[in-house]
Amino acid sequence: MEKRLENQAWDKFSVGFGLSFLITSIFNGLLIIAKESYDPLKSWMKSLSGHHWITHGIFVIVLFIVLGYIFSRTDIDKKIDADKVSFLVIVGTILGGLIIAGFFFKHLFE
Amino acid sequence: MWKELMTMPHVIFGVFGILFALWVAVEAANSSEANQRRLKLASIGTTLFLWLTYLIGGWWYVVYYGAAVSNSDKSIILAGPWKWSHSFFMETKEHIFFMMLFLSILLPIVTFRNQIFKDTKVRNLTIVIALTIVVLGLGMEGFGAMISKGIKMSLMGGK
Repeated sequence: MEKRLENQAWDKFSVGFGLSFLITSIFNGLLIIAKESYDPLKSWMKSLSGHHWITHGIFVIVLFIVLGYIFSRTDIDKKIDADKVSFLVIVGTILGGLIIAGFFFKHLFE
Repeated sequence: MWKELMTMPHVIFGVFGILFALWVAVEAANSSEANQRRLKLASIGTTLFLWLTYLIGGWWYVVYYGAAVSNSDKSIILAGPWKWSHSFFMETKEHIFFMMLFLSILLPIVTFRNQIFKDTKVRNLTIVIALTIVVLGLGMEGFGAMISKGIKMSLMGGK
């Protein structure tokens, strides 16, 4: 860790947006469950842009950028090295994918 | 004819996005001071093609695929035997794709703001992001094939 602290090559934005990827991927899956389970939410999302999926995309992309920027303003790079960000990317992909595929899995048996 | 032709750019740009991400992984694996320009070019190309895929595919999905008419792709699928080609494959595909967009933003941040060839861990991170895009992208291609097959099954009466 001490060596990492001294390494000027490591960038705050890479950590911030890596952490944001994990959180936003999970939020992406949870938002699907919420809007598909609660019609008023889906209708409200549709009313904002004309299609719930467009609103969904705007929400998660904006959240990813905002969280990434906020995390990048902290000293998070001193606690998380590139190996950990790799781990976050893999975990975020698996968790985000499983939440989405798991939620729609029941439809395979219709 | 315009509508039919416009199904192609989504798929073609998606394939280019996958190929560029693979290119990033190869350049990162062999990173040196000499190939940084190519690495950055490939990472920007990945971002560009994935966003074109999203914007064009998203437009087609909203305007044509899911249109509330009896002859839209979605309506045809849901009237046929492979309803799950929409309710599982399309629903999953259209939402997992957002994760590829996040990665397409993260990738150039890592390649432009770090000196990849000087840090093995950052190099490995670049490879992980790029290959995750490749794996998800290939999954998207496969899901797209299942959705197309769902339409075909409906039109053929399930045979």
